[in-house]
Amino acid sequence: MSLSSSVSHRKFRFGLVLFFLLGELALVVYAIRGSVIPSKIREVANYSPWSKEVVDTAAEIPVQDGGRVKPFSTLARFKMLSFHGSLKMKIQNGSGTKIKIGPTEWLLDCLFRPDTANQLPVFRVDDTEVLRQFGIESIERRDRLSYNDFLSEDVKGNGAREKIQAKAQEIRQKSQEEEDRLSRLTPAQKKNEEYAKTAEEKEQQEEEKRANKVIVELDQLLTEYEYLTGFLDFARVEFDAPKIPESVLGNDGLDPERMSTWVARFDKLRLIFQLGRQEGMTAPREVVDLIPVIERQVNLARGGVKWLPPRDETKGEWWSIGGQIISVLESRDFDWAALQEKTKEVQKLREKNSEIPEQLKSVASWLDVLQDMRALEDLVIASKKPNSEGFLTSLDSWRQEVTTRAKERGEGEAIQGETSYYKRNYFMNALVLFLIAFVVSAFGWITTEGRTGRLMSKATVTFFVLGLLYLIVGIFHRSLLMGRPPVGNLYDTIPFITAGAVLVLGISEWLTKRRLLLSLGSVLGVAGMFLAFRYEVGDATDHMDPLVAVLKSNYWLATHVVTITIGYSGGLMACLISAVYSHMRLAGFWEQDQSLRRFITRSVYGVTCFTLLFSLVGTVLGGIWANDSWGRFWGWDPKENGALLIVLWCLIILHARLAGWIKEWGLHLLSVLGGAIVGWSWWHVNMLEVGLHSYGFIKGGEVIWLFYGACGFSFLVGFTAWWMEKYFRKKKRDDDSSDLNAQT
Amino acid sequence: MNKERPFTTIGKRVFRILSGFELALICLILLFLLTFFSTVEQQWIGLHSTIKKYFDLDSFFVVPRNEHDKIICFPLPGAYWVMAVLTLNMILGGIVRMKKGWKNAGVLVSHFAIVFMMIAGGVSSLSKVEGMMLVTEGERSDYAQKYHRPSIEVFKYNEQGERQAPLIIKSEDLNHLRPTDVLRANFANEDFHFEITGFFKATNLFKASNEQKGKEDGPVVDGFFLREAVWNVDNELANMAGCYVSVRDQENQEIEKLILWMGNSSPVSFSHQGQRFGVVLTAEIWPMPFEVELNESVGEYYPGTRKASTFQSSITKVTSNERTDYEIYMNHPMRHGGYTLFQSQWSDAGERPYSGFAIVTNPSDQWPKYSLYIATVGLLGHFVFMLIRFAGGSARSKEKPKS
Repeated sequence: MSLSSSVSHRKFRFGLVLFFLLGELALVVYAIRGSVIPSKIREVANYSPWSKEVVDTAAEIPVQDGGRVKPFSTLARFKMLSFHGSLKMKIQNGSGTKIKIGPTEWLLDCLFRPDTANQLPVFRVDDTEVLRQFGIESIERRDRLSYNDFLSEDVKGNGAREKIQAKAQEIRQKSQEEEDRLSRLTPAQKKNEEYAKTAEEKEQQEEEKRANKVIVELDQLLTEYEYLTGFLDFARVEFDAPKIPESVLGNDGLDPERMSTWVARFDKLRLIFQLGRQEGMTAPREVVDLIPVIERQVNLARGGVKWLPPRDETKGEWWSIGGQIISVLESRDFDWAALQEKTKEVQKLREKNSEIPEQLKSVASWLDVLQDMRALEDLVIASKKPNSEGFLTSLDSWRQEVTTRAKERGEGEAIQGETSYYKRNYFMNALVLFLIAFVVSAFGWITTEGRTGRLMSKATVTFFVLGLLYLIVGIFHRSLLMGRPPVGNLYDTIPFITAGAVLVLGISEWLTKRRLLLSLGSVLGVAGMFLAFRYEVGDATDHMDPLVAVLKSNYWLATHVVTITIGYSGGLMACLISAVYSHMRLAGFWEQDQSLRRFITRSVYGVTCFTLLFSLVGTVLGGIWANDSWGRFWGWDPKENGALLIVLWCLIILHARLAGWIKEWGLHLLSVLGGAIVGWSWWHVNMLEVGLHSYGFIKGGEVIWLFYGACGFSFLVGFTAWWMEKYFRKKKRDDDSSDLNAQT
Repeated sequence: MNKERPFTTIGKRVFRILSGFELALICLILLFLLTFFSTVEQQWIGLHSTIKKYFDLDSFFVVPRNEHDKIICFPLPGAYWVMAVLTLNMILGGIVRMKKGWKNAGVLVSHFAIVFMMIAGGVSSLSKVEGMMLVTEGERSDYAQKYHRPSIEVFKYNEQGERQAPLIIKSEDLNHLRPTDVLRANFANEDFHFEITGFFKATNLFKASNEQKGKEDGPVVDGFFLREAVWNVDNELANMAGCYVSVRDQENQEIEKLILWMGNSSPVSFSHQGQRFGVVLTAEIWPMPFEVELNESVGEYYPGTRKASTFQSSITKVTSNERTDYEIYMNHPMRHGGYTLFQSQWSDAGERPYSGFAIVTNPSDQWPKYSLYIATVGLLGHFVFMLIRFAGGSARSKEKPKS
């Protein structure tokens, strides 16, 4: 081949690589585009940020949520993710100062400054078009709206919120009716109905279903928000305190402006109301007006944050004020008539530190709930000056009160550990370090020789090791907090798989000193941590919450789950190495030095063996666990099949190579496809929502299509490179033979 | 592959084909496709139907279809037979023909372990029986009911109105029935027979006065009729079989027309020559060689959620000569005389809580565990050997100057 044709050949190859890289970039941009909300800063004129002390104090208040006791900050984190789809909310106040509001600050706003919270752009809406019918206009299709945006009224005075509520109710009812109708159809009728629909009708139906889903989910969020902002309303609500003579009420010394006073006096109000009726008279107007106010406030206070640990240790569920009031009132042995008398008895017993007998327990609970109610009223009153010393002191006493009560019950011991876990932000730090390691290693590839090269190399190793340490320590910390092995749900698998792959690549680099594996490890580290972050944001679920009964086995979690996850890690590693191999070979690397190329091929072969070992052992261990849990070793359940597919794919690769069906290129191309199979098994089978592994089902998870796309691109790159090499080799042979013919 | 002597005779050629890599690869690829399509199809037809379609002994060919019943792949051989051929191939190629030596020792051991596991799977699929026993706290039970095995029980009532030992039309006779088939069932010592028609594996029972009867629906009997239902994919045990029974005398005259539905546990009755009979369509009864007494049934949820935290049953296993106490909870079954009892259901909806025990009898129950140990040792040995070679080879090739 002449020099000029060699140069043009190289240019062509670089052009192709560039083309494919741009295609891959376009794929990533397309995928990300769907989840990005235009950055629009909302003005909230009177917003003043909470002081750091208040935020830190609030962060450590124990609350119960998702079946466990966790810090207030963790609850806030996942609530904010579910409402806002992000852990930061950007606003600017009246003076134009930009403010970033974090989860704890936002939840504090909801609890103590609901009027301010209502102005914050908290509700992430992915399709604002759907909201037009309720009179809500938004320029952007994806937007973040405030609660106040839902309060806009039409000419008839109907608020958007009410309309959404009514529509959601209608959708639910219709969906139930449709379900009933469908359940009455025969399979043939159902099939006929499906066939009778035109493509347009089907599309319309899908569109309607999607819009309905948006409305119903939005209604649920709005309701949850109303409880969050309203559950302390009892301490804020303004009402006309009835002026009832002391002769009727007795001198209890309570503040008549507080709701807790009237809840405490509910027995007397009730008596006044009943007596009035018996005597054919109407009860005093103020009493008649007050009773529904109390009922509404009690009802609102049923939701919100559960941060009242019951004093009765036999009860597992923490209270909200409203829930506890209702639970006491509904208890069989609660006797209004004898309340005053029994209250005195309980007080006497408590003074003597004596045990409360069974028949007095409901009255004791009643007194406890009143005490908690008053404490919360104090807190809300103090919060009127949000950053004052008074509020900080009240908040801290509340934190101490809840912490002490939780500790007495043997709960909430990991509160500080958990707040520190989130503050340290291990995985995000690991992401940054891996990114730096990759960038430095990329420079290292350019400057391979001399002092700069050595410096780059050392810097890469340092950042890589630091990133890995952050990742591993993060996994350990998490595992300690959860009190179980590190992998128990889909989220847990992401850092674990990443750590496994990065660690193996790091060790391989240390053994072989080829410089390539460290760069690959950094890429994997960045990708894994980014996925962990995106998944947490998208799923908005606290993945530290306890596991379902069937998974409560540290032995099986530590053996089956860990082993199978290491297998996934191996499959993804092999895929990445082969993908890089394909790109580099297309770009014409290793034309001079073949040893690195062979090394990569041997690495992929080795990693495939590694994947087979762990996947096979993990799959069989899973079968043995299933045999102990469900009574069958193998049930062809999607999750089991997914694991089997990885095993089969590895066996196909290894046997095809032994049989001579595939050589170097075949190994890499199949290994790239193997990555897609791992992705399917790890992620996609959970989206099928069928089988016994129901605890792992996920909604959405469309990120997997991006991964398939990347695998597909890499396969295409490899295939093109293989074809080109074949083509140019043949061309060279033909050229050589024609040159030879010409000479002869 | 090592250089081998040519295979000259037909027998040797057959041996070469059966033990070859080519057959192994074809089987692995087919099994891969079958596993993949069966997983995808489960979303539309459910697990039980998928297993029957893809993995049953009598499934020789499979045509994968999508949710609209459209064919999505060329016909594939049934997975059971692919696995049988793969096992044979592994025995012949991976054990008998394979070169023996330390280099291949790990692979040889692994092949042996996988063959053992495949045999365990075969034994399990042929002889495993599964069922469910429901026991209310404080009560006893000595039988389970088999999954997906509807049977018809016919029994006489004595003068006190008590049920006598039943005559049974087994699920083997019913399960293969199509709705248009007519099954004639005779009973020894009885001068009547049944004609079973309109059998559906999933049906709904409707009251004729409440629901408009369609032309595809079954006839109205005693004010009720059956309509075929769409198979419930999410909860396959919730699918209720149903059928019509015409009770006929020796002259083939109809004595009574009955409607049977699995969702109705109360028997329907008819009288013949002064004797009253009861008939019920129910999951096949599976008598146990012991009784289970449920002493305590506990179910707990994580506070403030409906997420199960624990389900546990304290039971006493009662045989003719002994009583033994056991605790059964998640991941901790009771094994006794080839029977294994698992905590599978729990409910406190009634007056007293009850436990549902999944019961399995499977001779190859523990074989996969043994094969796992063997396979792990084999694979680990082999791959460690390979790793040492790889690391050594890599270090050597790095030392070589660039060519």
